[in-house]
Amino acid sequence: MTDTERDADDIIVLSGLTKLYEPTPRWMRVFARSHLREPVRALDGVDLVVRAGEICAVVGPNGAGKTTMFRIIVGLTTATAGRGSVLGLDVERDSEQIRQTVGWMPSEDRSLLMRATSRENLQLHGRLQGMSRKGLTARIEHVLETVDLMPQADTVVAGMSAGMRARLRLARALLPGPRALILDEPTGPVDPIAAYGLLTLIMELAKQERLAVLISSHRLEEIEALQSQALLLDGGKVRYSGDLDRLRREWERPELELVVATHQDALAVVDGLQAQDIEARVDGVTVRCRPTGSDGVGALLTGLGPLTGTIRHVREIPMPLRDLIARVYARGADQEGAAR
Amino acid sequence: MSLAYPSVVGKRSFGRKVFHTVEAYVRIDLVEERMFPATSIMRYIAAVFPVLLYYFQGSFLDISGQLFVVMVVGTAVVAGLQDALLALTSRLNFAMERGTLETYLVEPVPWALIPVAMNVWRSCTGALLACFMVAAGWLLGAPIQGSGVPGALLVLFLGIVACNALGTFAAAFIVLFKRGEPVVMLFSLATAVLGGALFPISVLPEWIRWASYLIPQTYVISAVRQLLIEDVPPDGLSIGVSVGVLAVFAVVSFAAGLFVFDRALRLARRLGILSI
Repeated sequence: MTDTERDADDIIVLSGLTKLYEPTPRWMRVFARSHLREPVRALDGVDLVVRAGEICAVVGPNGAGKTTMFRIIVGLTTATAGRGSVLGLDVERDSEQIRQTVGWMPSEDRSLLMRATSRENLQLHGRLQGMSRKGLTARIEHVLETVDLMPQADTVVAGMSAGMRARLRLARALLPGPRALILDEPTGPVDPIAAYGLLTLIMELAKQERLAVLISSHRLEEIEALQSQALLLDGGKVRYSGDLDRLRREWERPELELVVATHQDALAVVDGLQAQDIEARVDGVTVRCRPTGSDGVGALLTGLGPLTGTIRHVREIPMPLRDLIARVYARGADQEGAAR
Repeated sequence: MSLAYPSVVGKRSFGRKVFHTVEAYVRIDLVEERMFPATSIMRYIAAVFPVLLYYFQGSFLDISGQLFVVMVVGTAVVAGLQDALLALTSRLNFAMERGTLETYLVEPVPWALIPVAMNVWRSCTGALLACFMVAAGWLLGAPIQGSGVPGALLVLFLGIVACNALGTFAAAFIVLFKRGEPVVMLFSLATAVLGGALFPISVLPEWIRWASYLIPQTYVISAVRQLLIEDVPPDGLSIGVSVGVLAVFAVVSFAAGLFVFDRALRLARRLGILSI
């Protein structure tokens, strides 16, 4: 996509982004052992657009390429092929300008100066960002208030809880007034309640300030709560890209729970379902099955004929996001296997 | 106030970036100094002991006050330049292992500025340490010429710039190979001998003396001795030659050091080994 084609709301645009980590050159191994024996493809042709006000959750197992993708965007490593841009600025060529417009929250507390206070941490980064002294003082107070950390403004970081440190890392990312936020496992060491607060704040900020947010997390319930776009990565490849609702529509096979009057009825319903090529299992007076095809519950019940009268209760159990993602990955692996 | 902040964070000139970067790192060094106040005090107390060692050794061996001052000035200069040489590598190592280096690198400043800014404060405290040691020697009766102090400080400054440049080469080594201490330690111990900290380099045999002329410490020690001590033992280097060589060395090695550091960061970035 050229800059002229770029929509003004397209903040982060990745196109065919590929990263191949190679073992260090031979001459370097005289001084230090290479951590790689063979080239590793960390990203393989990733396409992504994150628009202003949009949150995109990047999901994948360890080694899927999430952090590599983030590091390419903020300029900590380079892409081997493909292109990435933030606000139309090229991630390779205009890295310094991009670092001015992107707020980056690394996954670890260690990135903070532990012996300095919250305010001192922000002062270091604010000055490096080029903020005036006066403007920076006001700005620091504003971001600390935003993340509800004003009472800890002059507390040494080493004495703060994991939740507070996560909020301070978010405050640091927000300091320069970025147009895009890159959050690498922001809730990693944080307890569930504090994590919920942090995510709610991120959602509000994305909406109010029209920030383009890229976020990675291993906690799938958090991804679901974000109601965001999702990019499923596996081995550097995109398995799915789009909104979570579409993911559900395309991939979800909810489980159907039918409660009948007697166990005999339940066994009869199972027979009726199996006659429709639907696998079902019985547990007392409850029958559980996963309908196939796109005909829906109505067609399934119609297919049961007079047995429908024995059903007292019908409940659809949504597929957990974990299972949904596992299905996407399994299908991707099958397709790759077939292609080979 | 909106979070969007375009009016405050705008385009900056290179000069402003240099100023902001140096200020930010000095501020952090000051925070560190404040967090461990006794550390700085103890460093200065510790610096008195080599001076006392040479003083009592001089009394015991009945050597002249002239030799005492030669040793004190030489040791003070080496100690003062040591910070400029070593501080960057230890700090960079610390930042890499702690994980703070990446947060420095994602700030919108040219990467080549980072080693310079990281070392400014420790270079200043190193110079102060050298002055402190010379002052302690003077209090113990070493004949120091007050009129030579401004010139000696200027030479020391040139030496610090040159050692910063060498420190930048070492930092480039650390970025790529993760371990710089052996190289720096080797260089730092060798300079104490080759630079003539405790004796004039004319004492060294000719087959090794050529190496003395390759390190900045030799010129700093020689020039500072000639400026601060009245009858200094000859070492074959005039003040003018020392200052000239130092100035050229500082400019060339500084530019080369920054270039190499920047290249090392870029290579590490491409290989994805910036933080591992």
